[in-house]
Amino acid sequence: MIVRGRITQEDDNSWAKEKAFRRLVFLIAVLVGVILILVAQLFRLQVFGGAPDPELAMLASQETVASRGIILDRNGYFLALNTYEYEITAAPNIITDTQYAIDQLSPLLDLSRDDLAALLDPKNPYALLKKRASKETAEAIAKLKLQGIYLKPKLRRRYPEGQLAAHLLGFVNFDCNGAYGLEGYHDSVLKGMDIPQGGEAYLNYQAVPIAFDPLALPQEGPYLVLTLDRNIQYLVERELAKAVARYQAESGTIIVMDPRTGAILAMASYPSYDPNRFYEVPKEQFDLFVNPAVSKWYEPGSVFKVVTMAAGLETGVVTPDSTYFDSGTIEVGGWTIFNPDRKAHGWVTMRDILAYSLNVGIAHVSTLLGEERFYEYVRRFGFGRKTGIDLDGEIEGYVRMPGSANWSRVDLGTNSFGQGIDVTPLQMITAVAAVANHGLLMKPYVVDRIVDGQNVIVTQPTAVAQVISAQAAEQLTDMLVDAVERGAELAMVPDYEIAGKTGTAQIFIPEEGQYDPELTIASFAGYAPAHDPRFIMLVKIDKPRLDPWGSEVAAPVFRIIAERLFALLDTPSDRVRLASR
Amino acid sequence: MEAKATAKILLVLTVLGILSWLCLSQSSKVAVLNYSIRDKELEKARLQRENDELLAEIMELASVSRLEDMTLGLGYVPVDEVRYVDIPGYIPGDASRESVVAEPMLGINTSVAPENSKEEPTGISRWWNRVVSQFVAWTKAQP
Repeated sequence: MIVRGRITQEDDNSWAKEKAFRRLVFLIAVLVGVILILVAQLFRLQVFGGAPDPELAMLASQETVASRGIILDRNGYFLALNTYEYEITAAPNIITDTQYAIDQLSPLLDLSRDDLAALLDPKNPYALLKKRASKETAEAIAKLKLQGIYLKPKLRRRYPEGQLAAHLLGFVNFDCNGAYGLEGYHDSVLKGMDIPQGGEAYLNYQAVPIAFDPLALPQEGPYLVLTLDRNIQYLVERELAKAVARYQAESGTIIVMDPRTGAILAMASYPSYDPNRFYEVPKEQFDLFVNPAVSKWYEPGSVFKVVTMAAGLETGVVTPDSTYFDSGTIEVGGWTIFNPDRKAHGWVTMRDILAYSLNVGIAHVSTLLGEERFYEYVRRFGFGRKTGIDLDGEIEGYVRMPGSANWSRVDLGTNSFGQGIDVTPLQMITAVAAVANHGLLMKPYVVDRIVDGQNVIVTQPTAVAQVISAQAAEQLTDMLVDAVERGAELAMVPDYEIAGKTGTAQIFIPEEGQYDPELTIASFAGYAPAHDPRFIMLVKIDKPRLDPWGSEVAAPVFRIIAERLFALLDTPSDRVRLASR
Repeated sequence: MEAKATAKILLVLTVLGILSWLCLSQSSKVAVLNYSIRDKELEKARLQRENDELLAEIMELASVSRLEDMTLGLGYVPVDEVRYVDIPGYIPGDASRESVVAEPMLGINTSVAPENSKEEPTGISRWWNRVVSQFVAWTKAQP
């Protein structure tokens, strides 16, 4: 019994252990089964079930680029907007059928089969197949739904008006950075914010967006509305190109501005380039990218007499009817200054000095002013410093000031008629605009407003300084009307009073240390209607070979554009306008 | 004792298993939902890109140089001389000073000026105001 009982107890214990073991195995099996199901479910969701549409995923990749802010003219026409190209990359080590991929991609990417095979070597984890492919190519590749081939959109700036306002707009390079002009100046504003690559884990090079932040979406850059008018800009560019061709000139610049606000209506330079194809400009012609209106200086010649006369009138050293005996020469700082025609004009008034553009007379005014007062007004009118326009690459110009090592007293004479002083076209027009605007110097600007969703930042016209009194400005305007009627008839428009001044500047050749004996810069700065100006325009034609004179070359261009501007700016004739007051 | 210990271990494992399952289940749901959101955002971005492409095409077709080429092709000739014609009763605006249009052509990216903005009316309201003022001027000009 004892034996049996012992045997029975052992049997019982063994059976219980076996039962417990079986239960444990069963439960472990169940748990393993559950875990396997969970793993399978996870795999299905993250690899198959939850994966985005392959075509969509390919076209959009893991990163979405933010749109760069567009640029519009004052009427809402697009001057710069966005299109896209695609960067095509591959993960060759996960491509299942490399040969098939090579067969399909070779013609689409315009790559030889050998080159493509080298790129798609299965040992490589990454390969750049094409930096910039067209939308059509990208769509064709997306349709193939090849595993391990990725398309990433890359922003490409498009300028639908082609060359129009190229110098002013600048361009966006292949790295999506703005260069020159507005694109350069407002680059940080225009750039949006790209979406960061989200997700906590990576599988098959796809981010699994467990921690995907829907708020972290690309932010579109704000758009710019310019003061520029597309139609005026086109008109100005066309007439500038015609003038350069007609007078066999080398280049030219025209700026149109509203003198009351400083708003730029048009700014054109010739020759120009197409910002859509900036990369086709050869290295030796990169100078084309520079905007001559703000980034290149020139000696303005007789247009500068406006500044000298303004200083003379404001300080009271002369009045419009003050007389001066013009003997044909004047000595300043030991140098003899002549009139452009090398003639003596006898007794002349200040009006005559501007009308006949007499160097001797205006040098007389500057000597009456003295160097201190003359250069004070030169500075007041904004020469020798940036105007502050919202464009990339503006320069200060160059004014030799008394006291500096390279200044001599003859500069007081030559500077009075715009020689020996370097200014930008924008500085020149801004200074004359102050006379048109009753003596108030305005800061020029191009961006009228920045629109960022609900937020609109409007540029307010900014007065820099009252450089001369309204009375002096009015007197000078009368004198400039007279100057046009007697010295620049070709700038006149019937039924409108035009105030303006011609300039025929000699060109200094630094390499030779002297002025070019033949070539000139012909220019004209004028505003209209003279006593209630809607626009001011500077026409500058460089090195015209057919005729050197501003009155013959630049003044007619002013007239042609002004005639159309009166219509475009809805400006009735003086007779009607004054009668309606 | 062994059976009790085994039972405790199994209980702990079961609880851990259930918690793991809940955790994975939630993670999967979040992932699926976020995939869905991301897909839609990507789709939106793709549509936006297509829209941009179409807009660029439209604006290129409407560029001034192309319009000029087309008109020349139709036999029109450039104007040699332009004269502003004065019409009795017409009140001209000041085009150079009028506030610029804040909204792009074709109505994309429409923006709304701040409510407290006291700027001049733009777009249709400005046009309507001008029409009304011109009509009033015309009626006054009639004998």
